[in-house]
Amino acid sequence: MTEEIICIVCPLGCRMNVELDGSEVLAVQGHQCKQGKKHAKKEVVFPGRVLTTTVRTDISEFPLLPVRSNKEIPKDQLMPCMGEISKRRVNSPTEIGRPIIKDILGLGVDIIACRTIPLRLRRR
Amino acid sequence: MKIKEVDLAIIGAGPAGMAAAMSAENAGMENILLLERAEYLGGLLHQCIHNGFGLHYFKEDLTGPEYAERVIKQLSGMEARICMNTMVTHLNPDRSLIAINSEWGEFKVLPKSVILAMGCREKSRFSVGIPGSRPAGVFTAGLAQKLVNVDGYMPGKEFVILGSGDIGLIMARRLHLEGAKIKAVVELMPHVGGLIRNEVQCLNDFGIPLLLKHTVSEIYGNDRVEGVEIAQVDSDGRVMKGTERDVPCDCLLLSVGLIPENELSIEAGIELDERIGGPIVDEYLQTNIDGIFAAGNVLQVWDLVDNVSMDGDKTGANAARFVGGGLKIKSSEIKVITGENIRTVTPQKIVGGEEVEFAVRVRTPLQNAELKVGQVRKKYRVLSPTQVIKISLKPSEIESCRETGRIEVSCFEREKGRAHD
Repeated sequence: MTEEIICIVCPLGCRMNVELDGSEVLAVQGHQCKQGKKHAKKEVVFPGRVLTTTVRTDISEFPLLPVRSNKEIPKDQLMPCMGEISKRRVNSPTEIGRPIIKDILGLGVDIIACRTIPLRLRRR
Repeated sequence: MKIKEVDLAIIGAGPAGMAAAMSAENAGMENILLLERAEYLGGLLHQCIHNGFGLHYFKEDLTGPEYAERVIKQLSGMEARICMNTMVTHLNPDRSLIAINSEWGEFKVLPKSVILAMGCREKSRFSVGIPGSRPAGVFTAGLAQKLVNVDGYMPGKEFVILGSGDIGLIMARRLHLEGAKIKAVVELMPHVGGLIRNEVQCLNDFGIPLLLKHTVSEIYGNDRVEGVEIAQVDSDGRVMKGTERDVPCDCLLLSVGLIPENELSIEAGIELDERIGGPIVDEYLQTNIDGIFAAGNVLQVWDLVDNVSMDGDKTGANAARFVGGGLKIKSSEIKVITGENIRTVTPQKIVGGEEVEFAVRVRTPLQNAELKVGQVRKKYRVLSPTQVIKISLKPSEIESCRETGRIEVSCFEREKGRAHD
């Protein structure tokens, strides 16, 4: 069995054919780089996505804090995660990278802050 | 009026302007002024909360805010003077400029060099001429992105998105994740306008329909959008009679293209490339006015922010060389010709004797393609109009074109028999 995967690693968007036996990858064709081949193998076995969204805050200058998952989330768990994230509010200054929700839905993935609020410029 | 004498004035503190400031300082420039009209650094990166930024520049997959913060932190450790909430109102052919802010009032800047880094803006409903009433609920995709990602408002519940550029695709996913219904993404061209990565991850992942060779031919509704008419188009982009159908929705998003923002450049007498909308530049990204450089989306609308930062790096270093008298210009200039299957090329002219990096956009998608720049040929499995292709030529490869004074860039599909030669 073969599955066609459109590569998303870079803007080239290679169309790759992955030859499969069950969940075992036999061959990948059409890739132009190592990352592409790796992506094709992964995409047929575990189609995961980084989730990026926002969390509401109680800080008036920054009503929303941009957040992301620190690892990929299975595609079919994106909407359930959105529901979970919508319940959360941030009410204090936050450092970039700080976990906002740990181990969301037991997936072993953290939702982390994508910026520092407020960000003060350090000047000499 | 207060007068500021500086070595370099940079207009705009988005990714291009910030990179330019740091690169100039690293090249030894001391008196740098960075002028930004917003109250924050980083430009549009803050509203682009999705990931995919920095893969080339930082070798990491970052979101827009993460990319911005990384650059802002680097910049904050440097000497360059940053003026926020500062609007540049005039740019003159002698490089002097007028700006205004609440600290200095209206003031004049006399820079030895200028870097234009004003970025780009969105085309509106009136740029594409959609007939119908003028109700609330018609937004450009980038404005909707700011409302949803920064301000925390949903502009509607049921959407039709016109244009499959990256912002349109990314907003389709974003609005879907926030619970909206995306009725369709409508694209005039026979191929998707944005990156393939975005077509896969923003539309295919969520089953959002993409209608190629279609357009929105009318907007309905008095106070609020109640629906739009969608129709097929022929090969010239004209609506085909009898294919029209009504789609109810309360919001129409427009992702119909970006235009480099060059009002200041035009005032200063900087020549623009009509196809691109940005200044005509040489390989140093210098415009027709000595000492005025252009970087990032003001020069051309790039596919990736990484390229915008790289433009900033180049112009910062080149501005430093210009002020230090180290920019070597030859007496004869080589004109860059836009050949077969090529939509745009920068630079448009070559004035020096160093390595030249060309940035090329093709007209249509091509497979087993060969890009030809002067006598140099490079093969590609696929070339797409959605990407900017960069190709560098050595001084020796340029030199052979000096006699004719022209170098042509063209692209074609290789013949079948030669596909693997």
